[in-house]
Amino acid sequence: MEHQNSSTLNREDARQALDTIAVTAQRSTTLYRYHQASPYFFLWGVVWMLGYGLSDLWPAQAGWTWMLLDAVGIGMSIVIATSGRAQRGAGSAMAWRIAGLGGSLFLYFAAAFAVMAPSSGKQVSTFITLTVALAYGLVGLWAGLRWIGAGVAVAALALVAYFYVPTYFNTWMGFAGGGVLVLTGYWLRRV
Amino acid sequence: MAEFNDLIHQPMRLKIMATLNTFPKGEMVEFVRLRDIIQATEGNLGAHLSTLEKAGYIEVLKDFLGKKPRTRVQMTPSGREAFRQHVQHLNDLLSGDC
Repeated sequence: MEHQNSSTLNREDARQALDTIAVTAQRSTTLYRYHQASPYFFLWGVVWMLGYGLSDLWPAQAGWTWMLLDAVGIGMSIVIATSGRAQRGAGSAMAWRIAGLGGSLFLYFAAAFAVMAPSSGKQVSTFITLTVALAYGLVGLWAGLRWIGAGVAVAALALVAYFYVPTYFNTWMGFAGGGVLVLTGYWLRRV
Repeated sequence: MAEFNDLIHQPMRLKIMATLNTFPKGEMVEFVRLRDIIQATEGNLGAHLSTLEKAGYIEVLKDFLGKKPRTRVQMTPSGREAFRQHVQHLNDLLSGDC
């Protein structure tokens, strides 16, 4: 697109310029949203590492361990979400959305497990992980391929853990699963 | 009628303005990140940012993050309006309204 002025610009030039604007804006928006999502992947990667690690050490307390860590994770997610938005007057709305998301997921899983009656903690963990992976994939249909990549990786790791390394399920999910989330956090920050 | 903006219409500056326009008002973007988003060289980007800053379309803030120098950029309100007008002009041209 050679440099033009208003007197030399024709419709095709205008179309090219608008295409350039649209492509650039789309790329910028996608990368911006990746960057915004990055801290949450770091956070929940650490939550997974702690949750699975502590569940390995104290399996009888696994249920309470996860409830406590999930509550901490949701609380810190709210802090992350509101830290920038509070300056733009949108902090409390986001806080309510995240709290609502956490509450909705809790109710959904409680209802699902009441219906399906899983027989092991591994089934519970794997189902939750696959649901999270599905959510990443669905988000990725609008928000970009990196979300889909994260969803596929997390789902694959969970299935490998459940079917092929059940003896080391918690260790695998903690290191590999939590590790994938942390690495995804780094990936989302990069252009 | 929306105005054609010769300064903004330069291809690299068009990309810069299109990128900065996607960031929320008040949010600054780091120079290196802007460079990577629009895939420009540092020298080229710096020259165009200087032109846009002189026109009052962007604000450039230089400070330190710890001991590391940092340059950040954001679009000014007049820059957003000028970009909006230019895009409107392009759309009007495409639709045959000017």
